[in-house]
Amino acid sequence: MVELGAGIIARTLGAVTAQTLANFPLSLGLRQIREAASPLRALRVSVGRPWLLLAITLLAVHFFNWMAVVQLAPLSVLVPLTAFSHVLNAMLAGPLLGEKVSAQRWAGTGLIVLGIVLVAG
Amino acid sequence: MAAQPGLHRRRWGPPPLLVALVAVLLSAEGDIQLALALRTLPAHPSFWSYLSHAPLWLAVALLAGHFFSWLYVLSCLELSVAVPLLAGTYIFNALLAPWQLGESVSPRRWLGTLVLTLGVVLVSRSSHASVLESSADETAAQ
Repeated sequence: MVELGAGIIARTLGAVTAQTLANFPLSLGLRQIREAASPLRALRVSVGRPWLLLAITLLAVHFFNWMAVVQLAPLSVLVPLTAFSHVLNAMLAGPLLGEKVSAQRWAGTGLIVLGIVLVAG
Repeated sequence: MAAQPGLHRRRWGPPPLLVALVAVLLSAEGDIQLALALRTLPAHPSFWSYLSHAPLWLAVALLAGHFFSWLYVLSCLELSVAVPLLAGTYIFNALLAPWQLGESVSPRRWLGTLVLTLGVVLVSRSSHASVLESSADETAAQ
């Protein structure tokens, strides 16, 4: 086990980013399936708009990077770092989704950053 | 049929909140087993040593169980209801890592874990992914 360095932190945050981005195509793809009238139609929609394929690709990127860092650094530090996904969500909500980020959400984001600094610092 | 708030129409299956708890437990334990498995690999593992390493298969099975139970939860609940529940993973991890991995969680790390868990709940309770919601409405209207 090596010390927790900047490289491991960066790689962990990269893995978390891929996982966070995967939630969007995952949600869209699954709703296509659940709202389809029949399994055959669900398959046809999924091939036409392959949200699930995109989601699985991003999740694979996440998984292999996560495997690499888990081998090297304490899990009780790495797992709290994954809360970065919510910070990323708050940062992307404005530019990508056109959402207004509420005061409560910024407050929560601040708490997450504080928590990460306490755990990893 | 009046829809419950936060619920998509569910045609079949177990209660989503129960499945969410199972998903959180599988995630915490899956990561711990993954760490255990990867740390017990030989020094220079070949492709075959990954494939033949039984603890790795246990970890993959637990994480796959997490993945599919989480898929189910996502298909039943709005993200603003589902995602806060995932914050439980940080608590379970801090409880299980000292016991199963022999890691020491200092008071400072516990404080950080609790602070960010609270942050995650606050963030994910607030409005979430309105574009996904409106896109689902359009699909439903077709």
